[in-house]
Amino acid sequence: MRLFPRFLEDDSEYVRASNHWKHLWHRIPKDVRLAYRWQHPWLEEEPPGIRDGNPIFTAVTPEFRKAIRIIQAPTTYDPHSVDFFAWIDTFGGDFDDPAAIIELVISCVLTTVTSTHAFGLMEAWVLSAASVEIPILFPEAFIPEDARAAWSVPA
Amino acid sequence: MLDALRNLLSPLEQAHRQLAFYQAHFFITRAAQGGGVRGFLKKSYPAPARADGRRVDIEVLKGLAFVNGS
Repeated sequence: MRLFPRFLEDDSEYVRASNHWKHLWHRIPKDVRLAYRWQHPWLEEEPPGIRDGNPIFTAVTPEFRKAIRIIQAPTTYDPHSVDFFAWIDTFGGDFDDPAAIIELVISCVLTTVTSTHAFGLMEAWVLSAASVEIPILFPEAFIPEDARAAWSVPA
Repeated sequence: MLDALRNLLSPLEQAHRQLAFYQAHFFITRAAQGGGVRGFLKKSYPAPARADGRRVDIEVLKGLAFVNGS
């Protein structure tokens, strides 16, 4: 079942969609989020005039140089698009840059099913501390080879 | 800048990213009309994502970006 399908047309629905992601985030145990110094939001939130769900939720742990970026997308008729896709990327540098943030990116059309998938990935990403290996359990996830080779646990 | 990036790609890769470039251009135009956007900011297009992972990313690390005339 689709959730908040008019989030791009209706400001109040956008807020409810945004709150849905915050609610998922807060289902991850607080002591875990605090232990790894997770902060939300991470990226600048866009003003109502230009916000487009891209991203609709972000969080970061600077200490472990990991982040989460959620993109909520509208339904399209593009035959190449998928309702759920996740990948690993960087912000502020390449994978071998010690200053770069490694981010889990989830792009989805929000449904009860994709919401569950997204929460599973978010929780795994947070619980895995400094590892980037967990999302490979999900067939939709994509981790570049250089990410696995370059990323290491901070001392 | 976006056009310059697109022109670096082969015609086939440009075709694969047609929707991504369209959405990115649409966002930049709206951002410029609104006076620009501040970093940190990152966006990935197309949305929804493609099954093959092809995409166009926008990343703003600091300052004010997408200001008309800049």
